[in-house]
Amino acid sequence: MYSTYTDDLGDKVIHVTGSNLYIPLDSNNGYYQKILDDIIEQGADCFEGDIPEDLQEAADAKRFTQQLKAYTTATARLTQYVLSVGRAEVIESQPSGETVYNEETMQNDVVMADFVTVTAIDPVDATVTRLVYSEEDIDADPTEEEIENPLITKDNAERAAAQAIVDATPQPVIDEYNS
Amino acid sequence: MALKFIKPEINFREKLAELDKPSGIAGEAMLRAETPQEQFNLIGAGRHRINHNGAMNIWQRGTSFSSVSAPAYHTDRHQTYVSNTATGRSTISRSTDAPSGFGYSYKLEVTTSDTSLAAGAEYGLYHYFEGQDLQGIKKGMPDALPLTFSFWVKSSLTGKFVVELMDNDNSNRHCNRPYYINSANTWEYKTITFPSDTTGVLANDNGNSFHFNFWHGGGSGFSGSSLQENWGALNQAGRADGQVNVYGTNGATWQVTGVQLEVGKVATPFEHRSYGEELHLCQRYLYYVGLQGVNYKYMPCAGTIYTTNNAYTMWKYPRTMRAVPALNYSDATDFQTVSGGAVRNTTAITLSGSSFTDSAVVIFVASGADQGHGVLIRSDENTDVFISFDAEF
Repeated sequence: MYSTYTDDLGDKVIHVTGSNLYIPLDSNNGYYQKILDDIIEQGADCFEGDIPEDLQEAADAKRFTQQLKAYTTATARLTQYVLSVGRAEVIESQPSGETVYNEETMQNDVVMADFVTVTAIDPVDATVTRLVYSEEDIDADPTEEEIENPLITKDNAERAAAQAIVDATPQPVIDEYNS
Repeated sequence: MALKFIKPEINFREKLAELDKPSGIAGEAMLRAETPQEQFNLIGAGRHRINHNGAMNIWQRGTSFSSVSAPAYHTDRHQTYVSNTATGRSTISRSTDAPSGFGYSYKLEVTTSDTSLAAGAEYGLYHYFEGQDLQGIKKGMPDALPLTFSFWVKSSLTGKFVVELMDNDNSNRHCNRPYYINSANTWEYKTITFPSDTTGVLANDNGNSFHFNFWHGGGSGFSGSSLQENWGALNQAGRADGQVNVYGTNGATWQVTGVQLEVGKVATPFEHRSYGEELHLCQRYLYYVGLQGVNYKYMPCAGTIYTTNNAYTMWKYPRTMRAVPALNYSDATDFQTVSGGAVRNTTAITLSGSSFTDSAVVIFVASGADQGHGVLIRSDENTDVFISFDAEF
């Protein structure tokens, strides 16, 4: 819990309630950054009385930066291909570097050709087989068990986490990302 | 006239034998050095230790701390890290048990074990750097330099341990390398060379740009993929893979001293500095005024009773601090104002907002003090009085 202390000259510092710690309003101070983190996490609950306007603004700016960073990372993660689906080949028609003289226009025409711009990647196996050993009979032969490919499990989990971040991102942050 | 030439005999066998003469380890290292900088380092020319308090000589806050449960500084410049989901507790102390050539070591002794680490549990020993102090490593540049880390370590546990370098300016890029403690309760000297990183320039300012971290234990969130031994984007699962959980054993100990981070691929002998010089370096991050064994000790400040009861005192730090520091003290009633022919006990102490990186105004409240008098501040008869200015990360 924090409170504001204003001295006789009108200068402010932040006091950590129940401690002997007084924190200057200096963004380079480590404790000051902790105050911002607590405001982001706990809101007005971490302050006795109103949060000073300048502190709230600093906390909002810090949160905005954090959200933009998280959104950028999550978006990049989601653009990666899905392991269970694989990636389709993409062919685009691009200038081949050759030209042909056009007698009608009396100019050199660029010759186009098809190029693979994105290579295909096969999906990984949907399942893998693992051996399960009996805990009761250590001499027994292991049995085979079919499970989802752990690579797919991990990929799905990471994509879900990234999607959750994207879904929770406020519009102003998305606008900043797109600008 | 006949001239007689005397030709010295050359024993080719001896000459060839001289070519086989071993040059010694240092000589070979010199020959193998790839850059003049490495040769410069090898002969110990210039200052090469980047980190502070590597010999664990400076303990301004005290020399023993029990039941450490949250990130906190004990020995100067080193933060014992205990994350909020970590349930292990330890005693941190300055130990005189140290390898030859060192007076002290940092000692961690587990007092409450954490045998079932939460996924996000993290234990370690951090040392943070200002970006402006690391411009010389050229991080993020095409000619970025490698770094070599060396230290003495001793633990009751053996096995794989991890040291981490992390770039806090560039989305926490990191490079983690293992070291192995082979014999329990034995001082071992370790050297680890970290490759250069041509990605991510460090900010040239006083912010927290970079750190090293000795891991002491990490939950499942910090393992699972192989240790990220080359510089790359943040990969939490590759930060502490295989790391021994020091906190997994009650009574386990881990000690370190002679810590040196330097530019180049070669670990050179530890650069010892005088106590005074090392203290001075540490005081950029913490200025701690204790009693030094004296009751009623006058504090290094002077001031005036600016308004009734409120003594405004000016404190000049020994050196410019990294940031405007936070004020901390033992207790508001631990001090006395000496003013106008009277001594009064203080009832409150606060930092003024008119404080900077080179000086602070601290306000001592003492009932009955008359406005306009000059004032001195002294401690009372208590023995654990302190006042500190903290600009650590």
